[in-house]
Amino acid sequence: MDSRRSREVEITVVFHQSGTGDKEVTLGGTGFSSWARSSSGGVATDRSKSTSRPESRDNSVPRESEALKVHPPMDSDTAEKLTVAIIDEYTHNCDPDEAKLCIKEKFASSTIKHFVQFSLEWVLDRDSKKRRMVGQLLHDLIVENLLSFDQLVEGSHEILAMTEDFEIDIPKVCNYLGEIFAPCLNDNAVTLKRLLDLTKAVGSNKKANVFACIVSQAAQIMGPNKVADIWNSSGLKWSDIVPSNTDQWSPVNPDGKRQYDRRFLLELRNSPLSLKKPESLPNLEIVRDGPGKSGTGDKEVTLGGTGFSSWARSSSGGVATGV
Amino acid sequence: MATDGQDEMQNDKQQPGEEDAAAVAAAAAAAAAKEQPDASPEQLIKHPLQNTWTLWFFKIESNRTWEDCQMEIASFETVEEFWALYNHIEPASRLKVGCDYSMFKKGIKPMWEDESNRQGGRWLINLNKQQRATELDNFWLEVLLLMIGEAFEEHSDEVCGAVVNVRSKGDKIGVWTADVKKNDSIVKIGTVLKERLHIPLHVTIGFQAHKDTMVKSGSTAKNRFTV
Repeated sequence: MDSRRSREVEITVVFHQSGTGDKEVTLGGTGFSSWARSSSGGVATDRSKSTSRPESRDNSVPRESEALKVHPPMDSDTAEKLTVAIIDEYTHNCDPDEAKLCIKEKFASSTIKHFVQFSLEWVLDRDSKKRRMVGQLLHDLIVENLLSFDQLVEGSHEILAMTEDFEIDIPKVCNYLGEIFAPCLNDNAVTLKRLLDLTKAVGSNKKANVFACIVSQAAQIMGPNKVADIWNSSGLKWSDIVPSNTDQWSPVNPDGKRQYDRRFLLELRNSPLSLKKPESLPNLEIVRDGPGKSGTGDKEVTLGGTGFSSWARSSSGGVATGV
Repeated sequence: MATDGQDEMQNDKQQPGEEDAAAVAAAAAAAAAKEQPDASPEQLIKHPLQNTWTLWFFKIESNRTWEDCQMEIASFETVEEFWALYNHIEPASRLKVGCDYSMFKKGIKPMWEDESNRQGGRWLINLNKQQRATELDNFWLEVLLLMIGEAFEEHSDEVCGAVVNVRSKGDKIGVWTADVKKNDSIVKIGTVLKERLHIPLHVTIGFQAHKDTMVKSGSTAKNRFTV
């Protein structure tokens, strides 16, 4: 958190100073592995952008006239440069319409995946608000048919596949991905089932985490009831997310087998609900007010410890009846 | 005993207000849940059982028929309700001689004559007198947990219930199954039972058909199966 915030501050400062030399140093110094990986691309983009940036800020005129000169085919560097410019602007001025206009003008259906990739890369370790905004923008693009699900998958594959690597430097990366992709559940822009497909790129260790984070973030955005509806109508089962050998009952898998082993049952023995005296018990001498107040009830958990000696004693006598 | 009776009378007096109290408690619980979003769902959700079970208490009373001496105590359908009941009744070792506890699937009476038991039989575990103090409660609880946890897996459907008899000659625990012809299920149930009760290998337990028990001449019916 701290390093990210400090980087943003640094960038802002640099923008105002328009000093390209300083900026190179400050950006390089933040040391995120994701940045290190993309340093040849990412940092260079920021640097090249820094000259045009303050101008667009000052008169709030987008750089369309400049960008329009760039036509597909688009190389990766250019795509990144454009993406960062659009997303940076969008997350500052909060104008999705302008962002969409820019995207429409600068990206074709063959290159929109790059926009997805670089916007994810840019926003992943920024702040929550920006991540949600980018997620909302992706949602809008899908709803307006500027972005297909397959293009979304293609564009996010690389980032998702590195989730485990990211986690070293960005411990909450799963939450961050959740913030980015949760808005896509709005308006059924992407179905839950397809989001599950999307998270397959994460790899088996973390894909359930990322999926869970998306769903949990969605619950924060649109409310748990709405998400419950989405879950219920998705046809997904708990076992689709967390594969297990048994189809055990759980609150989210109400059709699972209601089978409980000894240990689990004993763990619930003293839970608050288990200690509540049932209502309307008949008036009988066997009914008592609470557990463990009388009798031998407390020592029941050990089985077999004392048993052998008493069985041995009795084997010649009563117990042998069954033989 | 006398104090038990007083408590029960007090409970009776409290009953008219119970609904209000329950409503208040529910509202308080809901409020607490809202205030503490960290409260795990596990603390609020009961774990449903595959079957609904009924606990019976048998006590011979001179002015009643045998059947009327079987008293239904309560039914439950979640793990928590099972424990709530279990935690508020005396353990088997505290029953008076001649009394029984029975736990059967709801709708099945703890008697041979019941439609579900007619063709069935029981695995019988005989305890000696010393084992009432050391083992009886453990064994009975273990049998209950086996049943409510569906530990007999695909054979669980064959299980009707279980009975513990507290007797001066030695207590008995019987696990009742539905059909003496279901050999595989009966043997599997007996094997699980013996294993989970940690009954030593050299001690054998036997399965008897209720029909044989009904017409027995001696004190024991013949064993259809043993494990």
